[in-house]
Amino acid sequence: MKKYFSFILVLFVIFALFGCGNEITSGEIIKFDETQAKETILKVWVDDTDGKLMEEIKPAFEAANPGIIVEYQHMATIDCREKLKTYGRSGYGADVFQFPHDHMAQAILDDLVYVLPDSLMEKLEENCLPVAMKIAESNYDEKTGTFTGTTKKLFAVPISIESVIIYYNKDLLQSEGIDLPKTMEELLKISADYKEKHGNYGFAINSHWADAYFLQAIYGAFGWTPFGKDLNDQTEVGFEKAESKAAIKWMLENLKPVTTGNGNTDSIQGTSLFEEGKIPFLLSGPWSVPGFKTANINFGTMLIPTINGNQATTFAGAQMLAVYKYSKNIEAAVKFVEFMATKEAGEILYRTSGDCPALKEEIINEIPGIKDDESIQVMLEQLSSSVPMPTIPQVTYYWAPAETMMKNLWNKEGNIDEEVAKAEKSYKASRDLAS
Amino acid sequence: MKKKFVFVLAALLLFFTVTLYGSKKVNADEIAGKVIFHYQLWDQDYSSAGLWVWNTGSGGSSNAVTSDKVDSFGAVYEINVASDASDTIGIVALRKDITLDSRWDYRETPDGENFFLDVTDIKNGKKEEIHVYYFQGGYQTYFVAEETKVNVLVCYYDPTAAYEGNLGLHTWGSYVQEELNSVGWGTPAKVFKDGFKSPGDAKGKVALLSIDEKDIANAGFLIYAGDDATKKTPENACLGITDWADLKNGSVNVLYVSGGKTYYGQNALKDFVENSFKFDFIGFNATEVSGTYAVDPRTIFVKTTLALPTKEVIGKETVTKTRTVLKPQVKEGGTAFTQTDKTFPSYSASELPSGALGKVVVHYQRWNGDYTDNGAWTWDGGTGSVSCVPMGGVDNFGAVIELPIYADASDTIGFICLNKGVKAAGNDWPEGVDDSNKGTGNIDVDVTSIKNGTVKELHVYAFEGDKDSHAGYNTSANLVNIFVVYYDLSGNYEENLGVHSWGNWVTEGMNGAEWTKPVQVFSTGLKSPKGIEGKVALIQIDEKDIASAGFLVYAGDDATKKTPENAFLAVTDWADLKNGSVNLVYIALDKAFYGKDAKADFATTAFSGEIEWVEVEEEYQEEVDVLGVIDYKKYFKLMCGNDLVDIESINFNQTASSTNEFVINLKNAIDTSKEYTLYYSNGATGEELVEANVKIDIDTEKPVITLISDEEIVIEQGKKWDPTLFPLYKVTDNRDTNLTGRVYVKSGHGTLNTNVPGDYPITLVVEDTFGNVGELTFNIKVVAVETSGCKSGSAIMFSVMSALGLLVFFIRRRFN
Repeated sequence: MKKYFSFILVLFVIFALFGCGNEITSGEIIKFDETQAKETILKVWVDDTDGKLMEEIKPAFEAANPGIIVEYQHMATIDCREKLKTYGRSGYGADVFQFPHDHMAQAILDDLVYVLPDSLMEKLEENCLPVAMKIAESNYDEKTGTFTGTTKKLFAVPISIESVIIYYNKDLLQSEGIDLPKTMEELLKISADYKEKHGNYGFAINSHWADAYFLQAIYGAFGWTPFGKDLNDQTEVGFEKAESKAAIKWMLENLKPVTTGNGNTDSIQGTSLFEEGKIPFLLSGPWSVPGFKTANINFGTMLIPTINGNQATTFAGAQMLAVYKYSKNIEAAVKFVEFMATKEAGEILYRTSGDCPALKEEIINEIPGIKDDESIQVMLEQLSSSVPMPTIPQVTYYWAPAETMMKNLWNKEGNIDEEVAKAEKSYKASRDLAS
Repeated sequence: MKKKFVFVLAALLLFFTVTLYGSKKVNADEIAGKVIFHYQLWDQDYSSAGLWVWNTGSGGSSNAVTSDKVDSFGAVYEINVASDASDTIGIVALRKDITLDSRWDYRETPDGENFFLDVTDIKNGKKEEIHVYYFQGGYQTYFVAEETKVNVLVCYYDPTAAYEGNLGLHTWGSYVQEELNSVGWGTPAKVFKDGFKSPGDAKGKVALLSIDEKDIANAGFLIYAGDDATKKTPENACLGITDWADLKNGSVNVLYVSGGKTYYGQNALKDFVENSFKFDFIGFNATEVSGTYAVDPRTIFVKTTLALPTKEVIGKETVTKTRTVLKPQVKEGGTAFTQTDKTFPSYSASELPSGALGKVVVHYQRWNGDYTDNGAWTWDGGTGSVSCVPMGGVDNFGAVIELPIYADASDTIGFICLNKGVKAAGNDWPEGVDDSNKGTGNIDVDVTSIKNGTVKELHVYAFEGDKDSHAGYNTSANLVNIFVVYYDLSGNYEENLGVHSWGNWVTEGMNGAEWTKPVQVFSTGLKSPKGIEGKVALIQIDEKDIASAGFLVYAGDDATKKTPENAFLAVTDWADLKNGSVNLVYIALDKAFYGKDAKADFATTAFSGEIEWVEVEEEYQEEVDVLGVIDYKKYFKLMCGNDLVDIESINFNQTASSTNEFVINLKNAIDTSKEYTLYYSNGATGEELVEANVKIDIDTEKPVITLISDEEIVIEQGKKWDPTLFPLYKVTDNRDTNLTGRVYVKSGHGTLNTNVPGDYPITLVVEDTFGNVGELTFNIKVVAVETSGCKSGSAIMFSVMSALGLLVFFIRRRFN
């Protein structure tokens, strides 16, 4: 009995010691200092006035790249470069910044651009439009400070691409019984006839008729590009070439009479007239589309028609993102620019701005809406024959002489031989002065 | 007949009247009115400024709008607005290059931030004109004047941009703007806008006051921030407008206030700019987090009111440049006068022959430059001299022939330059040489200064065709020597041909020359290959006087000026001419020639047939400044009391020509409990001295994390963590506005075990840009739950029972 009692007691002890030891393990251990640790802050300066693009890019990128927080700021592209020169080295500039096609060389010379890895270049070459890649790549040789090195390197990521095309007012064409012209000659005749009937010429330009960026479509049809066939020979701006002079002659004899008449290059407000529904055709680019939509214009787009049977060859322009050379967050910055060349980022870009991502057609067409976007599709077709914007630094000195030359010819009836010679000299003088 | 004539005349008049009226009507339909845009730039250089406008309707002004009109405010641009214009027209003001694409580098508003002006009053016919006033750096702020009232634009500028939040006007009297009426003392009317920027980007304030002229005598205002201590003018600002009571309706008047001074009236803008836009630091602006301040303990952002140069001259170098010059070219079918392509050895002075006291050095210039077997025939040089002397080489002027002078030489020696046949020195007349080969006539030289030992050399200059008995040209080693060669193709020269001059010349008569009275410096000094004579003058000046001197060739009036511009303008490096130098200016056919190729160009122009001018590129040498980036460490100094703080480096935009933004990087972190002052001095003295100082703003405030949700989170033991339970928080900071995204969990202070009941403090951390760290700890409580096997109460009971059991067990063992 005593033994039995003792045994009971021992059982009690064992039960007390072990019976209540059934530990709860259904919870979890969370290390917040690991999951919410200090993150890399990536500063991005972009020309995104309304911030709509970056509002969506930021969460998309951060979700795909844990540990990196994007802080973005709207900054005009020229300001980007200037501010980086002052604040970059101290760590108060951007890690990623934006510039347009013709600013890249200057940004490189200003020692602002980090050379992106070859592996990224290879990846982008698979995904991005070749013409856009040509703008983003360069043979810059850091040792010699020239752009004629032997090795091609990637200096930026092209995020959007653009070209001028022709926009037309569908309603106006229908009400006027105008068929889409197949040649520039037909378009110019429509323009003249429209003037007879309505007082306004039927074909206008979004800029002015001395803007060499727009006029490249015509120069191209005559086989001329500045800076030689590869657009990179600063010794050969080429105003005086026969092809250039032939294009100018054609413009003065054929284009001017039916676009401005005796007026100056900027005497017609083409965009306003188009948005007011008063003219059927406008030479412009994708940046005009939001305005057309706001003005409720039922517009269509078409390729720039052939001139004398030759294809119009426009400049392909691109907006690009680069990594700041002295960024303290190079790795994160490279991830960001790489992300910006993905279909996901392209979709956001297209949705928020209407811009055309610089991706290959087969990728772009997977983006919802783009395949049915006539403006984009026509522009892509136009881009298939475009030449990349020259990116050598001397291109800076091309625009002003080109504009002055055409103004002197168009507005003051100057002599072509004399004006091209003057433009050539003016370019060389500016170039030499700068050097 | 008369009736018919009158009828025709009347019909014509009617026709023209209808036509004119009709055309006017059409025009009036198209252009509803104008925006008159008044644009003020601080340097008042409006030569290439302009506007870019759009949405002005059919026939309205479009794109670039230029003007050469200015009023007392600034440039005046007229923007035509058509009746079908948009309700708001777009405007971009551009400081420079309005006709070029580079215009966009000088825009007042950044891309995408243009400003728009409401023109509905013009479109609906209420107004014919709207007058807009806009200051440099105004961004999107402009002022529309009340056309029927007195308008006063009040500009207030603080170079440090430290404007009080309460800054405004105290006013009395009756104004058009309601907010300016019945303004109580101590509550300023906040009517100022950021209306302009200094050249260094410091913001300035502008307010537009409108008042009826009948009310003006009893009205006034002052600028302040609510009390006497903050008054911005020693007296009421309106007192700066001396004719305040006389201002008329429709007038626009500008009053500038800065540094306790007011500027008003004719020179107000100039005086304001000169006195107010001085160099200073822009102080810290807490609202915008800008200006000069410590951004972190080792980095100071600096902003100044004026831009400083980024480079300085560190040396000189000679560079080869190209330029386009006009060159004479003989017209097709003409006969060109050409230069020889022969080259000749350069002249180098030879040693004097034994017994010679010195030498006459003859410089002889031939028009075709051919000096083959040239030399001189000389006489009276004394025993030891030879008559026939070949040239010793060429210099920039021409052939150089040395004529030794011996003790028994005559006081005046003679020579003739010969164009051929002088193959070697000797005393025989060179073979085959006759009068036609004489390059000059007999030229006499007074050599007494050599004979009496005063000088060893006399340099004499002669041009081809210099006539007989000419005295030659005696240059001076102590003066700048300038030969002026003037040639008229007809050979006809006015009797009173000479020069008009200004400045301090050594040449007789050229000091204080009177207009209409040419100084007679010319003599016949050359003959062209065609036998036509030309004029030559040697004029001289000390190099110290040359910068303010000049001359022109004429015969007494404007009509007889021989160059389209003053001849000296052809001397491109005029101010750099040195004493002892010999320089040539040639003038022919209204052109002046100077420098490289001058003689060849002159000869082609003057001696060929009909010529034309063509542009050619030529290379030239120029001494230029070598610029180096300024080391601003020598100009900036950071002090902590009396202690100098080490600056490691200063960053700025080195590719710009000037900048007003710097980043100072310190070697060591500053002590945030101390005060620091930044000094700038350019190291100059007197009026050139530029200096300023500013106290450095240091951020000593930590960012504050505030929980938006509950401070304690409770979770049951054994539950999985639900991420939505993590508290919501926000961060506020005195400088940084967007720190919430930077919050993280402190290492070692963020582990939660939901299996084990208890309190789990989690510490959130955030660091502001300066480096101040704010923390907040919240608690996650894991509460125990009863399990099916062993509820807590039972556990206690079991424990008690176990203890009792053990006690009984041991007691029984002891007593058994």
